Amino acid sequence: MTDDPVRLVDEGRSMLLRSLIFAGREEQPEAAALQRTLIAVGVGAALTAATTTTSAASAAGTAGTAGTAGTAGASSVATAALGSAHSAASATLFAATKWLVIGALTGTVASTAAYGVGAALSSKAPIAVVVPRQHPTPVVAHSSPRAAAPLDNSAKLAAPPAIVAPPVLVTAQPASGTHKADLGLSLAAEVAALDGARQALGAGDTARTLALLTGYEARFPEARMLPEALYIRLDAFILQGDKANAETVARRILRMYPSSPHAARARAVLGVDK
Amino acid sequence: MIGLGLVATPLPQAEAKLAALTEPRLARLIAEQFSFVWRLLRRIGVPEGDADDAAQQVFIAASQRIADIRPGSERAFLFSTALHVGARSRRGRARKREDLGVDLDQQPDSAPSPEDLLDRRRARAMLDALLEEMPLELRVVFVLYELEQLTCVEIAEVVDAPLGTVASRLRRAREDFTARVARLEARRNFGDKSQ
Repeated sequence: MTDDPVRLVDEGRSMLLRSLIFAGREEQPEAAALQRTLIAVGVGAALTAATTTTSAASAAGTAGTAGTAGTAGASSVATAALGSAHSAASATLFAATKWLVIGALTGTVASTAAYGVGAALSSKAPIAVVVPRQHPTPVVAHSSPRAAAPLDNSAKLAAPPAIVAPPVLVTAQPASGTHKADLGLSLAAEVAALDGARQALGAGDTARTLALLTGYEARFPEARMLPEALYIRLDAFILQGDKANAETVARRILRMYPSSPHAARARAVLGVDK
Repeated sequence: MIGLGLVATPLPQAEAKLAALTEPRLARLIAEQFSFVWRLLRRIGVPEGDADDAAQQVFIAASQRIADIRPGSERAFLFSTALHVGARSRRGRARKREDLGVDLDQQPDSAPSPEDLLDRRRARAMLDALLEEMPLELRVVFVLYELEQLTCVEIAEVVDAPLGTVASRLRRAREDFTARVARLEARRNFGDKSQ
């Protein structure tokens, strides 16, 4: 631990100051922006394919050489997004998780909400999968390898090409209701539920935020996104100026997830150093 | 088995996807840090409409240099690259400054009412206007600490500066920011009383 000062939002500063900072913290890019970047650097389609095939591979109960590589790749990325407590801020973590689940899943079933994805993947019928077409030429070819050096010459970076190619329709075999698919869908549903709460908080509707979070915890008794839910709840109480409830949530975070990325914030709320 | 039989994808595409999966580090980096980079770009002055492209440029740079980026220093690379991409965006923006957002000095009545505070978009515009008045070296430390909630040690690594320098910048940035917010509130209170 260091002697970092208490963050301004935790110092009991004015409503205006806290609102400004919360507004900055909560801003998120659109999911499509991440998707475009993944595609631009050549890994977007891989994520989509891997997500699609992970559940199918699980159904078959096999792990051939290629299947292992694919599943491992997808898992490593998903795990990174889900469990990287040290390198991602909580909001980043949440967003990455959301995108990897929603983005990859909805990337496979275009314009379908998380719950809709569940229905689609559990169907026995073949799934129509829309995978964004990869840019025919790798994006990196637009600038020289050296052009990307930070600080000294990044001004030479080529402008990113527009990734607007029409999608390619690909057909996937049914997932046949596998355990992994269920897990993925459940997680997608959790993410969607938390997304609603986060949006409500972003709109300043703390009462609705708290109601949605209560519904979330009731609906998912074994919630895997509970740390994030608690974090949102903590912010809602802070924004309400409800110190007592904020401290209660902070203590719960520390009790349940003492080494999570949210623990530092919980400690700050409670005014404890470690 | 990936792509082969499970997804009716032509073999070359499946091969390409398999090849892409051999770069999990890059995918992981993007998944973990995209939101961080995007918000950082926004807070250093990249307009919302340009932030997606700017973030993409940062990660394209990372993809080109991924082999050279030392494990553990990914965020420092992204930060320094984002600063340059952001600087270029600001230069372009300065050329059409009349189209920019809130300017506190020009809009003395812009202090938000309590109702306005519920409007996150307006609050962000206000935040950015306040940050824009702050020297960049202070601004980035403030953003990384107060908004991204990094520790001072993490910030020192990201900005490649001594811890003492980071602490000093943070102190000055916090004083600057709170003073500006206080002025804004005083302006609002004055407006309330004068009505």
